[in-house]
This record gives sequence, structure tokens and C-alpha cells, in this order.
Amino acid sequence: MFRVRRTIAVLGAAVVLAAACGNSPSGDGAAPTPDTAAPTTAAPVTTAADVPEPDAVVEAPEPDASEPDEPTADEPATTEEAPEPAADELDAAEAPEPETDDPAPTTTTEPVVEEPVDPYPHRHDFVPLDGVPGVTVDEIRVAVIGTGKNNILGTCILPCFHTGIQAYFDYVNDAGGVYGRRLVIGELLDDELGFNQQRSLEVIDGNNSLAAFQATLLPSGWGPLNDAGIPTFTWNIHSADSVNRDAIFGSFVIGCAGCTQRGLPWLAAHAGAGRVALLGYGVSETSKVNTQASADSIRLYGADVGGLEVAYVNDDLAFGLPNGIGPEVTQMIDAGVDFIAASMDLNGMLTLAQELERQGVRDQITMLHPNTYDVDFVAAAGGLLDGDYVLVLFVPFEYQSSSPLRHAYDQWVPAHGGPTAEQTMAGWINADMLVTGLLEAGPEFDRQAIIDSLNRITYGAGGLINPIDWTRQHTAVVPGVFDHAYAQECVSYVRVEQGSFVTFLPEPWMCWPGDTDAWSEPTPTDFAG
Amino acid sequence: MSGAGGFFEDLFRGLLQGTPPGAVYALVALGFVLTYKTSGVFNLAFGAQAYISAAMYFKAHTLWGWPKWAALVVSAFVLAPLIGLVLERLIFRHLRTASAVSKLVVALGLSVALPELFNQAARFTAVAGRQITGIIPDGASVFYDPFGVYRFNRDELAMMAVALAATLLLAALFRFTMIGLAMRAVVESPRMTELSGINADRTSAFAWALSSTFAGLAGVLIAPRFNSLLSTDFFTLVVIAVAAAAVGKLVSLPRALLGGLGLGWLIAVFNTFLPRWSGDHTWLRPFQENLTPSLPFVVLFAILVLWRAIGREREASDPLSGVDPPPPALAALARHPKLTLFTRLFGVGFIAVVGSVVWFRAGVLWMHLVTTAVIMAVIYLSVTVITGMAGQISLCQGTFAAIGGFTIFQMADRFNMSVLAAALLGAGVAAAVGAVLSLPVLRLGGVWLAIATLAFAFFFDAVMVKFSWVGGGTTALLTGTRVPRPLVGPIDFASDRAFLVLAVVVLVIVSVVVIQLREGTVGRTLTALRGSEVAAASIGISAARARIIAFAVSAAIAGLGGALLSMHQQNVNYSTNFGPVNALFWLVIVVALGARTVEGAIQAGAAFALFEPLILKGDLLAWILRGEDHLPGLLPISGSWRLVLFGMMAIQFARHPEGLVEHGKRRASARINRWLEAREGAAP
Repeated sequence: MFRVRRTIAVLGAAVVLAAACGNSPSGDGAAPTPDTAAPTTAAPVTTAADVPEPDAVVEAPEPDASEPDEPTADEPATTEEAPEPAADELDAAEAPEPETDDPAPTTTTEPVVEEPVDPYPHRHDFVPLDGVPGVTVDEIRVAVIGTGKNNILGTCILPCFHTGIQAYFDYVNDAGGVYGRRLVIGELLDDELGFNQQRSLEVIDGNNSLAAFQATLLPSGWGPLNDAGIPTFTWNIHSADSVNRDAIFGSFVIGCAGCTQRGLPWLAAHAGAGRVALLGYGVSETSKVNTQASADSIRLYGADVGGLEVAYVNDDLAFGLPNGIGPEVTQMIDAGVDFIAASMDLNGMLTLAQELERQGVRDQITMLHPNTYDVDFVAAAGGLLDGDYVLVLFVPFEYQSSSPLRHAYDQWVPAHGGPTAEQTMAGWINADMLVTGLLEAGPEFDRQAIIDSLNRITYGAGGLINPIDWTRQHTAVVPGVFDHAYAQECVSYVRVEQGSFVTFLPEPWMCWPGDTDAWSEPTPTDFAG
Repeated sequence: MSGAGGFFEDLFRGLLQGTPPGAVYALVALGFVLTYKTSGVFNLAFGAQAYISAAMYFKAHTLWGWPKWAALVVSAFVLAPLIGLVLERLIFRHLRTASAVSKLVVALGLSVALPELFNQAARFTAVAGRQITGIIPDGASVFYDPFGVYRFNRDELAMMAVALAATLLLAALFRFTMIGLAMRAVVESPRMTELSGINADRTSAFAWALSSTFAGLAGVLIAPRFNSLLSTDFFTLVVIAVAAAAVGKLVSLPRALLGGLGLGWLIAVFNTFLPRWSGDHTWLRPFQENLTPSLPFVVLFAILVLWRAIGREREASDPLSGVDPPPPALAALARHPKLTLFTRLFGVGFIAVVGSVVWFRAGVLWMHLVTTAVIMAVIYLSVTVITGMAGQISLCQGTFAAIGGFTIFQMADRFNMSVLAAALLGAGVAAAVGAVLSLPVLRLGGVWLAIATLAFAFFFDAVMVKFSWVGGGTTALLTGTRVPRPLVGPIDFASDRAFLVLAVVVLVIVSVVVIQLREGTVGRTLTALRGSEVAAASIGISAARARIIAFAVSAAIAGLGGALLSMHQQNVNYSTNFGPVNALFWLVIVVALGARTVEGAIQAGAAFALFEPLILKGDLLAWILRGEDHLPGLLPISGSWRLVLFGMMAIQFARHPEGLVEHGKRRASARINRWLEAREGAAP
């Protein structure tokens, strides 16, 4: 017993000593930055939509056929010796340079047609850079990390994300690259679900990549990448792991899962619904909170859209629905539900649809899917999802878009064998965000310059996404406070018909003012327009 | 649409709705009972076997376009019995007289290794929405409504029919046939059975082929219920089905059938009425929120804890096992003094060299990996205490570690408490939870204790983590479960090197505590209990007291380690680190390498963190070959092979419960001892 007492005494002393210690103020795990710490002023209006993309007229992609002249290690190019991309392609791809020598017209008798101004006339200027990780005289190398093996969702994540990035890089390289250098994926790392932090540390340790891309299901490596000052571009389904981290960027921002939203009640009313059910998984805090927020949204705006009511709420479903969902569907039928909004994965939504079919009400109840924008998946369901709506976080492929970035995507991604799918688009947009950051940073760039330059602008991916104001949207949104919210609250949906997606909105987005949560009629919006 | 019915109509509909999932549980429970009756193995790998057949069927029929019958024959009637025969011949034939706990650990190892082995060998991955088409034509799309209340599809009817038929046929097999009697006899005592002229090997092989075929058939029948095939879903299904099998005390097939159906009915009835009633009675709301998703695990836990008959069930044991020799002593206790001196000098030198390399040469990655290894060694010492010393299998060590992690997150986030103090508090909370948990479950002992702890881990995962005062709730949703590093005077442990030092100091302290415990009263008491509980009780030893202390200390160590891991990663990262299925691998890797010694835990920690980058990725070979360019094309190998290798190594637990490394050390020590003694004897 003496040993035990001695041990207890030692441990007691340790407790006293430990209590006298503090916590490190540095590091990612330090207390989160309060909301007020982030700037709340409006960002300079600089969006990628303004950037003349290298392909206003995109030629058929020939990634291997038109390598730009590149400087060699022996002959480092200077600014004056910047490699010229293939002249024909670049002429076609780039906006014409403003003819600054011509005097401005002095009369107003004829309308002045302003030439588009390339905000990045230095995009091909080569400046030798020493000590910038991942940057050589002819290459800018990046790392791509994602979940390939052990993907519990069974969807295409890492391969599709990688394809989107590679396609965009080839598209840019085809037009001469950036600052005389080609964009190259130097490291492609599969985190196999559980190794995200390790793979991220490999990138940090290797120090051979200028930036990192991440599409993962368990983002344990985002913190170390942020702390290492590596600009990281993500499939940002993990808002808790990107918020308050200035080096983590995404193609969308989930600022506030618990806030009310106007898109859902508007859509339910548009679908002719009267009684709405909200479903979510109990094991997922995101799903649970989002389900309650959706219910609050229906309660708040239901009267404004013609008398919508919350008829059923269940945020305690077991993930994967191992016990089926028969009793819940019966209760929804009994409650007169005609519209279901569920915060569930696509597999769960299919199980729900099958149960609705079994109980004979599939054609009477419309569903809103948050994660089912997958052409193959919907086609494989064989019409079971017909009539449903699907939320999309970028301009859906089914909408005609004037965005040159979208036109380029339509040609380059299929040419790389990639599906037109959410993950390839996420990779494509993230790659464009890196290039935008590079161009904003100027030819003497480094990691921090890219981070700083992106955090000074609003990025809109040429109109493909609801523009993100990075000066203030790294910070979490609190219900009722709009300092860190999107400038406009926008949603985009498609409908499922005959096993495929179709459009039904006049414009890709329906938007409400972002500085208030008061009800108003939405404004059809096309950010590319 | 149908309208709201009366109470009895709703009840009847609920029962019908619960029948298909109940049939799933029943099917798995029947397979579980079948395996236990015919092999004496508490086969947690049943789910893995079912998964492999389901995945094979999916690959053959859906991906390769084979006809259903051909895919079924290959997956359920060729591959499945083949796996059973291989397992019997290579593993379980040698374990017939091993303890039930040893067999359980072997089955755990297989449940970790087999699915990954199949996935790697067959290059199989889950595909969203690509469901298995059942063996019945139009199985999912043609419905029958026998009562005018609820429709069953053909797949479900087939599954229910198979469950019923299997119950009758298997019961008849055991009751009326010689082979049924022989299988049960071989489980009871293979040596006595052979004295009666029965070929125990052949009988055992037939039993394994039969039970594996059933696993394969169950897998193919169940799979259409999943929208993507994942081995973890099958494992969770087995854990749930254990509740149904427990109703039949693992031996009664009809009771297992009823247990499975009853579980399905109970869940469906709960889901039918609880949400409705909680609308009128708000006090029911917390029950609905927390009980609904965790009901199977609560039922399992309740059956094990409240049903006294479970605790009194004696495990099948060979009456002749008393003639088996006792386990040998640790190698370190039988070493020649010179060898001991040399070993210690070598150990100090090795640590000095490796420490220097890490300290002066390691970058951020290797610093992280080595720190992770040290922290995992701390956590694994908790397994040393509960399994190596107390001889109990706890499958909720990940939960205890999570308690430590969440405690420092909460204390730092809410009260800005020092994380070092919070870590000790977390260890205390984990110890308290461990002690409280041990009160009802220690009575069970053996495999039931293991299953009860697994049910607790799943319960924590399904319910407790959701509470804002545990998992963070909305706070975690907004900013995650981030944790700061400690600051002690001028030393800021935000530096990775400083934090490694802290981790090493903690490891040394915990190691000393464990050694003190092992060599002190508690350790000797536990050793006595492992030898003979009755004899120990006769000299006044309180088994309950000693085991509660062991459980609490083990939980405290795991909690401290979990807190340290969260500090290291600056985030609790619950899903990545502490999920109940993830933590199963902890036990597997510790028992594979050495559960009885501190060195075993340290080696397991090193293997957990360093095996993948050093060996599978090829960094060690690249260092030897002076460059990655010279690496063979085979490398890098997927990290998933880690699961296969250590899962397979855990299979050795039954033969070498001290762990493979300790076993190797013992053999090497014996040889060197003999050589040294011979030299000394030859000396003038």
C-alpha cells in the first residue's frame, strides 16, 4: 500500500504543479479569435469574375500539344525574357491589352466602347525567386491531399478533386502558365481516411509545395497547414476546421449551420408544399443543428411564403439508417407531410426514398437533397428520385452560364476523363483560387503573399459561386449578426426528372440581402452575367 | 396516404416495420450462435466473413455481370466455406483448448484483418448508391402487403424465410444428427471426443465450413439493406446482434431468432411512439433524443448487466485443460545477469542514439510521429494494466481516452484552465467513469465483460459525444474541438521539441506507476486472481476491489494519454482518434506485440505511429539505400496493410498471450542464457 500512497502523493503534487501552469498563447489550438477581431469593412471589389481568363475563346484542349517555351535552369529568364505562350492561343485566350498610347476620345458624339482591362498584365512576367518552397525557374508545385481509399461515403472524392485541379492546371499551362512557370501537382497523397494530419505534415516537412489542396472526410491536417503558413484550398465541408484560419480557403463557406435561411421555405413553397418534415442524423452535430435551423426557417418564414408549417422534425436518426426508416415515414404520412428536407448523405436519402416508395407515397412527397448532386447516383436510382430538388453550391452544370471559367471546365475536365461532378468542380475552382491568389500577389510572390492577397479580395470564381469576401468570411457567423455573412444569401437548386437533373430557376441563383434576415422576395441572380 | 390509425393499428404496423431489421439481427445472431456452438469461439469476425461474401457477390454480379446464381454460389458456397476451412486449419485448430478470452482476441484480430485483406486483394471499395441486388428477381421493387398495413419486398421476405428455416434446420441438426452431437462434443473437449473415436479435426473443419457458409449467406441476404458496402457496418451489426444471441445465452437458436426479432420490434415501437409522446410530454424528449440512436447498445448493455444468468454462464472449457502447463514467466525475469546488463546498456544506447537523431535531425513530420508514438505508448499502458495485469479485455479504452481529450477541451474552452491541470482532471474523470462502469460489468468477466465495454463505447459514441458539455455541441460545430498546448513558466510547449520532452516525461512517470503497480500489492493480487480466483478468495483477496482499482487506473492512464494526444494534435479529433471501431485496433496491436510489459506498450506505440511511414511507405529502406529512387516498385504500400499485419499478429495471442515480441525475447534469452552458462561452465 505504501507504493500506492507514494504514487498518489506524487500525482497529487503533479496536480498542484499543473494547476499553476498556463496555456500556450501560440499555436492553432489557442483560444479562437473572437468575431470582432476580423475586419468588418467591405473588401475591395476585386473578383475573379473580373479576371480575363486565359480562354475567352477556348480551343479544344490539347494539354500536351502546346507546351510554352520555358526558361531553363541554366538560362533563368528575366522579366524581359518571359516565355511567350503560343501566340495564337494566347491571343484568343487573353483579353486584349488596352491600347494606352491612343488618346482618349474627346468628343461624345459616338458611344465609347471600353476595351476590357486585364487587371493582371504581369501574369507572364518572370522574376527569379529564391527560397520560395515549391517554386523553381519553370514550375510552381503544389500538393493534393484527399480521401481515396477507405472512403466511407463511396463517392468519388480524391480522384475527381485531383482531376479538376489537373485539368485547370493544364488549361492555364496551355496558355503560358503563371509568371513563366508551369503549374504542377508535385505531391498526390491519399490520406486513407485516417492519415490526413500525417500527410499534411509530410507536405510541411518536405517543403516542396507552394500550396496545398485538400478534399478529405477527416480534416485533421488543416490546422498544421494553416499554422505552417501554407495556403490551403479545400472542399470545405468542414466549417469548424476552416473557421478562424486565414490560410484555409474553400469554394464555399458554411458560415453558420444554425442560422435560419430563406432558400428552404422559398423552395418548399415553390414546390407547392404545405407541411414540411425535417430530418437529420443524431450522431452528426452538423446534421442535427442544420435540421433545427431548417425547422426554425420554416417557422420564421412559413407565413411569408403562403402558410408553410413544420409538420415533423426528427434529428435523431442513426447514421446509415441501419434500422430502416419505416416508423418515421409512417409518422410523416400521418402528419400530412408533403415536403421533406433532410440533412443526410446521399445513401441515406436513397434509403428514405425507398421507404417512401414502399409506403406508397413517393409521388406525393417531394424531397430536398443536400448532398446528392451526382449524375451517376441519380441515374442509378432509376427514377426513384424524380420530382426531388437538389441543393448545389456552385452554378449547376445544367444552367447555361456565360462564365468563361465554366466554358473552360466543360472542355478541359472531360478531356481529362473526369466527370462533370461536384468534386471535379471543387478542384477546378480551388485551382482557380490559387491562380487568382498568385496573380493578386504579383510576380514576386511567396506563400504569405498569396494568403494576404486572397484575404484582401472577394473571390467569385468567374461567377460560378456566390462570391466569398475573404476579408471577413474566415470568421464564423453568429445568428442575427451579419458581419461575417455572405453579402447575399443565395441558393441554387436543380430538379430531378427522369433520372437526371434539370433547371427550373430563371437564373442559377436566388438571392436575398445578406445584411438582414427579414423576408423579401428573392432576386434571380447570375454572378457571371 | 394513410391516415393516423388507432393505438393497436400503430402498434401492429410498428411490429411489422421492425420485422425486416429484426430478421437481419436474427440472421446474424443465428450465425453467431452457430459459430459458438460449433467452435466455442465468440466470433466477432462473423461480420467480417459476412462482409467478404457480400462484397464478393457485389463484385461478381454488379461489377462483372455474372448471373445471380453464379455469384451466390461463388461468394456464399465456395469462398465462405473456404475461408472457414482456412481459419480452422491455420488458426482455430490450435486453439481448441485456449480460453474464451484468447479466442475472442483472435476473432478481434481477424475482424480487423480480414476485410482489409479482401479489400486490398480484390481492390474493392465502396461505391455510393451501387446497392447489391438481392438474390430474388425484382427483390427490392416487388412488394407484398399480407395484412394491408405494411408492405414487404421480396428480399425481406426471403431473408425472413431463411432466418426461420435456418433456425429449424440447425436446431434439428444439433438435436437429431450425429454430426451435430459431434460438433458440440468437440467444442466441449476435443481430446475426450477423440478418445470416443471421433475425428475432432474433421468435425471441427466441417463446423467451421458450415458456420462460414452461413456467414456468407447472411452477408449476401443482408447486403441489399445497405446503400454502400462497408465492413464497419457489418461489424456494428454483429455488436447489435450479440444482444440477440445473448438472449439465447449463445447456445439457443430459437431464442436467438426471437432475440433478433424482438430487438427489431423494440426499436420500431420506440421509433413509432416515443416521438409522438414526447411532443405532448416534454420530459420524454431527452429520452427520445438520446435513447433512439443508441437503443441497440443500451439493450445489449442492459441484458449483460441486469440479466444475472449471463454472469453465471460458465464458458465452455476443456476438462483436461488442467494438464496444460501454466504460462511461462516474463523473459526479463529469467535472464542471465550478464544478458540483463547487456540488454540495459543496449537499451540506453539505443534510446540515446534514436533520441539524438530525433532531437537534432527530425523535421516537423518525424517530430510529430515520434511524439505520437510516445503518447500512444502512454495510452497502451492502460491496456497493459487491464489486459496484461488483470487479464480482462476492455474494448472501451478509446472512450476513456476521449474523456481525457474532451475534458481538457471543455476546461480550456469554458474556464481557460491550464491544460496540464485539465489533463490530470481528465484522467481523474476517466478513472471515475472506469470505476463506476466496472461495478456492474466486472461480475461478468471474460468475453461478456469485453462485449459490455464495447457496448459502452458505442453508447458513448452515439449519445454522450452529442452533449455540449462533452463534445462541445454548437461550439464545436463553429470552431471545432481545438485545444491549446501548455505553458509552464518560461517553457512554451507550443514548440514540438518541448512537447516531445513533456510526452516522454509523462511516459516515464506512467511507466514507473505501472511497474510499481505490477510489483505492488495490487499487481500481485491480480496475478493471484489470474492464477485461481477461488484460491485467491480463500486467502482473503477481494477480487472485486483489485479489479476495480485496475479498471480505474487503466481508465486514468487512457484518459491522460487521450488528453496528451489532444494537446499534441491541438484538437480532440474524436472521429479520427477515439471512435469505438478505431480503438479496437489499439487492443489488437498491443496484444500482438506484448500486453504484459511496459516495453510491449512502447513497442506497440512505436508500431502504431512509425510502422506505416518507416516500413510500408519505405522511408527506412530509402534511408538505407540512400534515396527513394532505389526503392522497389512495390513501395509505398497502403497504410491499410497495417490493419492486416497486426490483425494477423493478434491471432498469435492465444498461443503466446505475452505477445510476439516478448515470445521472441524469451526464446532468444533462453538460447543466450544457455550459451552463457555453457561458457561459464567451460571456464576454468
